[in-house]
Amino acid sequence: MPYTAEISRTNPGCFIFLVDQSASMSDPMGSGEATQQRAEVVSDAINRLLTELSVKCAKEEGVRDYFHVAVIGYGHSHVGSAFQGALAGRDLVPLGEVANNPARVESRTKKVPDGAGGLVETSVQFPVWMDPVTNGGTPMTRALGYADSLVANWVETHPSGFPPIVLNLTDGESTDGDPTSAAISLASHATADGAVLLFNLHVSGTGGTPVTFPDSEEGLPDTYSRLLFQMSSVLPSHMRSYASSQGHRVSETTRGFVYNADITSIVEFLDIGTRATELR
Amino acid sequence: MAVSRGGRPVTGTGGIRKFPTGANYMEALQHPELCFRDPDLRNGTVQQSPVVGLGPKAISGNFASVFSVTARDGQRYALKCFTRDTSAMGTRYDAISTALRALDAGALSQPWSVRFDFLEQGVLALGDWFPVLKMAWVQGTDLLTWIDRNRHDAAAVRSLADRFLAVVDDLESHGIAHGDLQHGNILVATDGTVRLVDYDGMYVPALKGEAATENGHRNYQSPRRTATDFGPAMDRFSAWVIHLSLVAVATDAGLWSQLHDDQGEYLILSESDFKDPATSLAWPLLLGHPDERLRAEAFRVHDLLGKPCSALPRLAPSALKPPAPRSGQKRRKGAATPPVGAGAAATVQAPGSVGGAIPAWMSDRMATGGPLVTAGAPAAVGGNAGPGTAHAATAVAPFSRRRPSDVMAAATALLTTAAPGVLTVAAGQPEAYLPLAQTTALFAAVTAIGFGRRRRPEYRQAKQQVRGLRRRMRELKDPAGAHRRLEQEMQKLDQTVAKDNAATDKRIQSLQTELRDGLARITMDLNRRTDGVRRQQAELPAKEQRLIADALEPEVRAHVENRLRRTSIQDARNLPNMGAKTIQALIDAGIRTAADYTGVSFSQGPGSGGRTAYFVLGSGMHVRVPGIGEGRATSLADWRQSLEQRARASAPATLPAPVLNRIRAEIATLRAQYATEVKQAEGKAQLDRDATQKRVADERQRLMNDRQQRGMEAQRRRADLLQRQKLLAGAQMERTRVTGELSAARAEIRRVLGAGKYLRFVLSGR
Repeated sequence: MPYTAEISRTNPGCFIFLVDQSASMSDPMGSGEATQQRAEVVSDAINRLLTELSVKCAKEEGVRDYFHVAVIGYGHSHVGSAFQGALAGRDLVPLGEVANNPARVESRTKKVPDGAGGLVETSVQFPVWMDPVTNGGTPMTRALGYADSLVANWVETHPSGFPPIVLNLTDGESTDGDPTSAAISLASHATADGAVLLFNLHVSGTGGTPVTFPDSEEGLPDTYSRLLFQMSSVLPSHMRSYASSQGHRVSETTRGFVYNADITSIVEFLDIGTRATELR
Repeated sequence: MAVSRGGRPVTGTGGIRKFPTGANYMEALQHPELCFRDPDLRNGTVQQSPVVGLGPKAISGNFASVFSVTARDGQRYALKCFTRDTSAMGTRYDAISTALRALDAGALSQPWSVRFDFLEQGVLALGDWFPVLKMAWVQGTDLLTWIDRNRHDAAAVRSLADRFLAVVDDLESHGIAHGDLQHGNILVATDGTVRLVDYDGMYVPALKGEAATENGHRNYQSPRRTATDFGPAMDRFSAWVIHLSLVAVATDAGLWSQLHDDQGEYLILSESDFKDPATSLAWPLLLGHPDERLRAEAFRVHDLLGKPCSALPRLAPSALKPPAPRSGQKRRKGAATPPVGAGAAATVQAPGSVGGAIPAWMSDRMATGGPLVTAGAPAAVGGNAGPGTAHAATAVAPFSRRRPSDVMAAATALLTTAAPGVLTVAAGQPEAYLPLAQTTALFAAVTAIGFGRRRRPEYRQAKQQVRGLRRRMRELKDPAGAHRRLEQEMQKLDQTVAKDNAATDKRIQSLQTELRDGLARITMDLNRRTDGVRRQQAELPAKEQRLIADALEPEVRAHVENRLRRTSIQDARNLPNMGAKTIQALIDAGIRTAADYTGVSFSQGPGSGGRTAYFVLGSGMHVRVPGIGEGRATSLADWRQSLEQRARASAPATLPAPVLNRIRAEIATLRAQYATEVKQAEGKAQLDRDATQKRVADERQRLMNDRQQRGMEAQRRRADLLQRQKLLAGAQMERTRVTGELSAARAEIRRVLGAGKYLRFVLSGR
């Protein structure tokens, strides 16, 4: 059965984040109380995902290398590592090293419930591996090609592992042509356990209802979101079960696509370590 | 379509509650004074991550993250925060807690259970209260790390195996099962007793009839385990696996390096060994192990693989009766395998000698029954001058059988002796030269003889015996020093063997990965080969339909053409607004039947008038028909269209049988061809798999043989060293004896193998 390979240090997984850093990412998204630059939303998402992955793989002695992680930025004329600080310039980095090397840890103020019905302002630590960057065009096709070569190399050296997961975070407006064929080519790489999983997070100013893990393009607000939906892989059955256990309605055709919503929950979909789960 | 707002917990379908993530908890726990209600926790200190500023340190599993909180009074707690919905767990934990509290601590083999409290309003995260499990922090080392550290202490490992057995017995006799026995949930305290942690999946009698919420660690569970196996017997498979692993390591620490991967989340057996025992590298090592007791337990566990979980036997001391000991062989209690050739080796061992204990590597791979090496063997095999051969050494064998080199030596001696005289006469040298030359020549002749004699095997052998005796003399002069030196030699030998074995074990271990990846590559290759074919296979029905339609098309076209041709344009007169003049204009333009045009097209003419209509003729030509505007042209086009539709409806729908059969045969051929291609690819993949498996198995066998041979060789050398050490005990008496032997040997060499004897031998052959 595909997508059942153990994710462990002897059989690590591969996680590649593709981050849109084009000029259009400087546009605000959302409306009302909290308007935030799309690029900020995306870099926050990446930093949160890396934190989430690190916590998920943390054991007594530290964070284990259950994954190798790359954060690839694309914008202007540049496609390459978007890590900052000690990891700058590197592609796939073992998770333990990622966890130990955030570029910095920010103190952010946050209002949290005080437990007595009120709110109190506190500061929380927020590790940062990449800052928002916005510059030039959106070479999404090239970015997918970059991921393609990382993935090709990975499946060659990890033939029995869980297939690589590529998560593309973008506003969808590719400037170097239709990314569909690059996406198809990327998703055609496979280990013995299955084909590469390509997921997309679409941050958009178009508005409309946020959508998480849809099973059809019906109701998606624009051509960009529909294109990204079509590029996204269908969720493997165990991930569907997790999505459903988190309250999402899923079907056989549910895809790894999120429109203007939180995608950090995707980390919960990963059966890290070796527990065989009994899903409800 | 499911819709959820990011960040906020939602209640989804079926009342499922979204729980915080590990990072959410990490953030909340940065402020214990805000996120806890429990006073111990609220005023406690949360252990921080070693990465500066990152916040609380988490230890995560798939369902929860655990944090360490130390209360004001110094008590340390483990706080389990759930990342998946555990709303229903509250009642389970109550039942588990009640059952554990009811256990009589005095009746348990050891204090393995850990108390916990399930706090419904445990932690405030994401603006909501979530339950936590608050447990006393258990000081201990997880099983995997513990084995890794203690694997060379066979007695300690064996005693842990016994303690584990006792814990399992405690559980069984109270009708309790842990549900997820594995290295991470079994901790070893400093006093060597066992603690069990993580009771999420625990069964207690009060939970009878419930289903399991998890199936345990994949590297410890039977592949046949399901949620319905939730009950008092669900630990059995994992208990056997863990006990077998401990017994294996206690018996033969080498098995740990051969079967355990440093980074692996298992002991010595993992999921693939249970799922696919035929390709396992572990089973042959365990089932074929020389140690009878280990082998017997391995067979028992191997037997469990095909059985349903409900039919597994209980792991109990009675199930582990060791095979009856062989006569005359004593087992050392708590030790590893009885030393190889126990009876014989024991007699070799010097009393009080430090290096006397047989090291672990020696017991590796050696059959326990039937000593491989006897006390007499080392001297005989090693060729050293032990006492067994020392007496024989004094009986020196005389020269026998001349060889060409002996003849050469004799000739050289003769020639050099005669040469000066001959040269003097021949060259007219002054006579005074002769004595000097003669002396030199004589010296050369003696050298030649001496050289020849020393190259004789009889001489060499005798000399070697003398060297052995001299070494014994030196040893006996300083028995303590000699003892020490022998000790060092043994240590060095042990180290070398241990190093070589470690390298071999690592290689054996890496074969598992090699096999896994090799098989995966074959699967990948097979998928690549068959993906295209399978797609084509799936498209065959559509292809058949297309072929049939294509074959019908000419006949359909001819039928339609025929019908249209038979419809005179005069029939169009029935159309509204269509007069004889119009029809005549059409006939003049060459349109006599409905078949004479295929349709109409329009173009925007100059000015503001309507569009101009053109009739498209069969030849493709566009003609304008005077008097026919947009309206009439359209109705004529529609008229023709409806005629064509009617004609198509009456066209033949079935192909003549031979044509249809041909198409069906073509499709059948393709179907068979694809099936053959898939079958061939699968057949090739199977061959490749078999070849890969065989290659890896052969390589493993070769490595095992090397290891065994190295062990035997080292054992011989060690036994020899031990023998020499033992002989140092009666040093004084021995020295006298060896002195006597040495002078006897020397005298004998002079008598039997002297230069004179050699000279006679080379000349006479006797």
